[in-house]
Amino acid sequence: MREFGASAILMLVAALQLGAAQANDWESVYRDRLKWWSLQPVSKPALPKVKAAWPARNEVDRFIHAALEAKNLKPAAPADRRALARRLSFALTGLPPSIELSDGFALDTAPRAFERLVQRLLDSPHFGEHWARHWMDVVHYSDTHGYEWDAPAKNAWMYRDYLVRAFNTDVPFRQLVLEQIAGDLIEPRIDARAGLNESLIGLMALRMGERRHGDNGDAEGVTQEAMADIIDTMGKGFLGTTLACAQCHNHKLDAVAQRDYYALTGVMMSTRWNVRTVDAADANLAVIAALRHIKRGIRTETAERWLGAKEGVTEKIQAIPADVNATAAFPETLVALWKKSLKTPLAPEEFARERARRVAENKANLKLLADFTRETGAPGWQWDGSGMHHGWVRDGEVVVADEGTNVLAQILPAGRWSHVWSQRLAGALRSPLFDANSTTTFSVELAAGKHAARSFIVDQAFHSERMQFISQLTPRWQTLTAGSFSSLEGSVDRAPRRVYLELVTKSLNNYFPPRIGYGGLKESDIADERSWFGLTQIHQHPAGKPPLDELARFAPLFDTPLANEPWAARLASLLHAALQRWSRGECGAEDVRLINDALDAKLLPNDMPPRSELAKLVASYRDTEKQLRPDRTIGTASDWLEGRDERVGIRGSYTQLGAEVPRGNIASLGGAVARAQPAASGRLELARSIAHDRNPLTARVFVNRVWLHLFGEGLVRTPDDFGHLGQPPSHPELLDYLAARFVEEGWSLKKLVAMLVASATWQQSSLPNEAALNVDAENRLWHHMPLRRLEAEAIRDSMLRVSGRLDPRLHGAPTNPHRAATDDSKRLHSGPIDGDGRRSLYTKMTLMEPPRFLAIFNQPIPKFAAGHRDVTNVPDQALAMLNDPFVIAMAKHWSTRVLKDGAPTAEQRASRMLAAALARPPAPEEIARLVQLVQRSASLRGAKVETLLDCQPAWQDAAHAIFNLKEFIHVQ
Amino acid sequence: MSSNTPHRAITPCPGCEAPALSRRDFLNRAHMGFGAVAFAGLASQWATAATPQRPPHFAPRAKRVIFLFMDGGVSHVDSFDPKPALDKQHGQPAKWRPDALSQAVSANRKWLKSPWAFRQHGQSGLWVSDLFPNIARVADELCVVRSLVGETPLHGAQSLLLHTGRSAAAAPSIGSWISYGLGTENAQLPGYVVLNNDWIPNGGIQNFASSFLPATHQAAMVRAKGSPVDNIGAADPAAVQQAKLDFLRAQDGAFAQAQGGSQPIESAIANYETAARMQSLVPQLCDVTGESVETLEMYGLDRANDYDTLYALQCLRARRLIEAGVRFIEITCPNTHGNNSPWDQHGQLKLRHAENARITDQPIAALITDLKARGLLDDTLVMWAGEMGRTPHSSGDDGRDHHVSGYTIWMAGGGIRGGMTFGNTDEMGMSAVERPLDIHDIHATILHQLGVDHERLTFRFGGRDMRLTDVHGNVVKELLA
Repeated sequence: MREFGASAILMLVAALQLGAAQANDWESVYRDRLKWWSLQPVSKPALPKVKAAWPARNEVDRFIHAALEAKNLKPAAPADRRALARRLSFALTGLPPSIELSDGFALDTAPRAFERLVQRLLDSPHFGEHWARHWMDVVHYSDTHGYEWDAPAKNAWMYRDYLVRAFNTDVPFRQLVLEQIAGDLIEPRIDARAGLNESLIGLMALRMGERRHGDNGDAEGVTQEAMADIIDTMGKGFLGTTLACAQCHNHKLDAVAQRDYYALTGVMMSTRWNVRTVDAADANLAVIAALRHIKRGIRTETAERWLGAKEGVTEKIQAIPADVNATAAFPETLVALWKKSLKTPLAPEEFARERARRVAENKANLKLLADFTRETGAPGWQWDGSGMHHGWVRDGEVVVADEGTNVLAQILPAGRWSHVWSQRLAGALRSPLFDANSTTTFSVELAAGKHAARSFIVDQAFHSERMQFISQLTPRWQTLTAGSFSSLEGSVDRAPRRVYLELVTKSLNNYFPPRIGYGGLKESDIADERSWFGLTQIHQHPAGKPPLDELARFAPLFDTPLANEPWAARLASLLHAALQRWSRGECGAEDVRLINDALDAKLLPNDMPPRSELAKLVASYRDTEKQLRPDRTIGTASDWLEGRDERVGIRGSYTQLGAEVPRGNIASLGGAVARAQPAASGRLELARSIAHDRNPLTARVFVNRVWLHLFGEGLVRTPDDFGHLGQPPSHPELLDYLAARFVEEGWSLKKLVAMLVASATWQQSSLPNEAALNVDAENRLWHHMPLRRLEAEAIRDSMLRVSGRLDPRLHGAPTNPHRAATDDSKRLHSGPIDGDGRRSLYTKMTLMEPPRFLAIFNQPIPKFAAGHRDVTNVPDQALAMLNDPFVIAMAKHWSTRVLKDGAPTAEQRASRMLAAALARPPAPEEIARLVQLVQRSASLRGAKVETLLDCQPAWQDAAHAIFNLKEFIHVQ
Repeated sequence: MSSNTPHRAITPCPGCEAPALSRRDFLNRAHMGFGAVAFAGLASQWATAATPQRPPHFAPRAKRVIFLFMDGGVSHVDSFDPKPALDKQHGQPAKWRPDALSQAVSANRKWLKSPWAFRQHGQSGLWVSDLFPNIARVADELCVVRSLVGETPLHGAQSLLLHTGRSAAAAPSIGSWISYGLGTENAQLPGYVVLNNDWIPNGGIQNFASSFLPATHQAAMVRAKGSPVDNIGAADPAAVQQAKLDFLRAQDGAFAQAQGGSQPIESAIANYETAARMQSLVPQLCDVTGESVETLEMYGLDRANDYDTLYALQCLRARRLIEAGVRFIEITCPNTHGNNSPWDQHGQLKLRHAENARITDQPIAALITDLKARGLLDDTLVMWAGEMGRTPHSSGDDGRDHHVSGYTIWMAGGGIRGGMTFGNTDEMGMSAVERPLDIHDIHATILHQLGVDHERLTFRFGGRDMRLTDVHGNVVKELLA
């Protein structure tokens, strides 16, 4: 009755037609399926001969015209030049042309006028924005992960900006394929201007979409669902293949075995989906040098002050009263020792006995797992972030307080600390995998604050709810247990879990900010850039036997000469000696504890005397610290050489597992090849085989997408499915010719676009001839260019541009869409009505509630790859154009601008407005219609004829009406 | 309830004289055309204007569905599934079969008896607890299924399963499937309407999405508070909008002609006519001020609390939309506290279950009574369901956790047998032991009542012929009248 997880996978029709292709006859079925057209190598066909006298502008036309000729059809007439300029502007940049541009082109009779216009638009930075948005449909870009809490997709917008840069600089698409699958494993591509490791950013492509919180230990299948999404996106996006069909059984129609699905799962499950820094170079070296200099001064001043305070320390200790409720615990701090000694002075023998016990127990119980006090003391662990990079210190390093009246925040023991210079620098520390078959108990000596978190990541979870924020100023041992990660009852036959420990500051944390209220996080904490942690050592030990403080620092108290002094003076001398060693740069971890104890107990001065040198130094440190640029981070991936093959999920089950499958590509594209490093995930080899010049699918699928964006439909009309249930290409030879040429020309998008738009086919009019329509109503032969409604973004962006509100800046964090109803519990906040004038590309795509205005015009809900957009035609769209506050705001903005245009007559203003919106000079009757509207509106509003030009609401009505013109949102 | 004003007042031109139109003129103009017609007249007009409907596979018993979604999971053992054994073993350590999909967030679980007394109601003697005193009064209409089994004790997964038949993948909602399968009875209105209470359930709007089905089948959201539908309030005074529409008609007409009578352009032009009418239709349908005082009081619109009145308003709107020919209506629960699902009482069971019941009980009973009185219950199927039940055991004494191995839903009307219970859980309310059903069976049964064979309602997507019920589902004949 109930079949867990085996949702939606059977293809019923196919199952009826073919019966179930059983494993034993799969080989013959598979061999047969390998004959499918899209799996054949791309060959560059010869150009067909065309008899007809229609002007062929380039190779594209030869193929199109030959097919038309075969049906006795004619192409449409060439498009009007202004219509062509408008078509080109939208196709290349997603924005309308100015009337100047379209007039200029209409009047430019030079033979290369069109090529010049194409070049101009290819060079526009808006080209990259527009084509980035096309690709974002394929990877189903979103800024959040939906499901219950709409957790943020970690800095996804940086990936959007990466696409804009990549398309603007015409990075070969082959390179983008490599980066989006294995950007962490190839030679980094650095964008010098942005200072970014671009390759690493590309991997965000696979991380889009719905992600649950929790992990497989909470509910088996959480990660597998994410993997299914990744495989689906990769399959449809790059290969036009519905790989995810094979999760539960062999594909019913295509050459994909169920084993293939799990070969890919093995690759993806062997990948750590971490957040990483993507700065190509250290931007902070100079600032840190300056901070180092100032800090040295602070340390010198402080040492002088503290060394001169010995008498004062003795007095302060003497002033501490006995603690009536003193616990029986053995004293571990200066103050506790003093209190204990007030009543019955601690006997040397007792101390020696306790110390010896602790040393012996530690010796018996502890096994050093990782030592961060030595630069290479933690094999297998990896750190990330500039805080960690600059954070390896010796005993006694000081941390300057970044706010308040204290000079120092603390003194650090040797170790790796993200906040040595600033709490705004990022840090991450990740462990190797734990032995999943045995429980491991260990203790970490750490300190952390400002929502730094530690988390066990189980089975490559994205949003682990084993995450805990740590707030611990002075380093202390924390005991953790890895290995007891249960599963749902019933999942008895599962593979061992992959488990590692992660310590991260906010910006390197996959799950920050987490769902609202998690771990007591307040929303106001999110904006605070600060977050820090660090640690000294990690010891494994039996449960209940954590590391004990060996008390070495107190030993001199019982030795001559100190042993002869009174207790208060003895303690002060002990501290003084530690301070002396610290001031000489020779102190040890025990000294650091003494000094931090003393600071905690306020035995040492740590305030800033007004106008003192110290106060000036601290102020200067804080000012300089503000110049640090925090790390730029994004959700990406890494390969830790801990690859493992996956087992087939029987009928797609997450708990009933079959045979193990060698990880790698699907068999028809090379299968599991030898890896350069046997323990690697295999992602690099997978990426290379997909990005290979001779891969039969990748180039075909991509050129078809480009054709689709330029022509409205693809040569293959199912751009995400080149398999048996997709449609066959209308012009197979043209598709191959384009794919071959695309590869020959270095996988250049701009060259491909330039060639396609230069064709006579693309430059046809959108008016079909009757004869052609009768033979080919669906226009599969391209006998005319289809009239197209603008895409959602272009509609919104056109209003921004025509009204003059467009902010043409590129890049940056997304702007919240304006919402009539917000939901703070899901962080569905509302943004400005005009979206700050930014292009739709920069509107925040929350998976839980995508921007409504754009959704009304068919921007796809970003849950799965959508290479082909719906174009619906529904009353909601009319309602939006008539009543949406954004449209009204744009009309208002435009009207206030035109009021200042100095037009002498209403006719002239109306004419300019129509021309600006439609990129063509309006006819007299059109001008008259608009003026009539303005007059009618003005008279309803009580304006006199002579004040017509100043009646803003009437001109707002005109602007609004123009936005509502069908011509405004359609391209001929 | 204030009256919905479809159009804004005219803003005078700054520095100009008073508007040329008086308020009276404005109102007259605003009510020209559709707006001037009485509600009943409108309804009949739509019936004739309806687009051709798709024929069902066989003669239907029901024409439409109202789905009352009890988001978060009502406790079955506190509502419709009495467990005397729980009373007896109250406080005893709880043990259960290991296959029960029951959330045990901590050890030391103890059986927890219901704080509400169960009584038999109506001629049928159906068991209903005191949690729902009003629904108990329509007990003879209810068909209570006590043996639902889910997949995962998690809200998002279960909510998607209930709505789409899939716990994770992004599949179309049942409302979208029904709209797609049967078409609309009223061309002016969407086939699938969600009467939302300003809270999106777990699983997000995917619960209401058309997914791969054509976008026209996605739910139209009607909000309880404020403007019921996006952009439905006219931004312009009627006369101003009319001036714009006149301009557009002329200008767009010329454009359409220049494009050779392009069909998409013609449709887009027609959409403006529809949109202009919707501006007054939808607010009128959503405006209940014309209902009698008795009706308003029966639904509970006279109650003091906002949550109570808004839920009552949505129930009353549901009846009006059913009358107007909407195919599938879902009413969601309001979220009164924090950011968790309304019925998700891991703690404060007595207080918050009672509060949720107070909000929903009276309007739901009123809706069933009202539908029956108007003869609409015969062909309107009402379903009341949460995405899960709650554990009969607890780690405390006033909360229950997620539970999907045996829980309760009920249906009424639409050719479903009233006054009956079906299936059963074990004596503690843990596992369905008698006639376990899954949600696909319920989906198949609902489609069957609508005259649709769930195995023949398919849509090709991503290389497969997709179904609401995937490869599952059986029509449960015992539930049919």
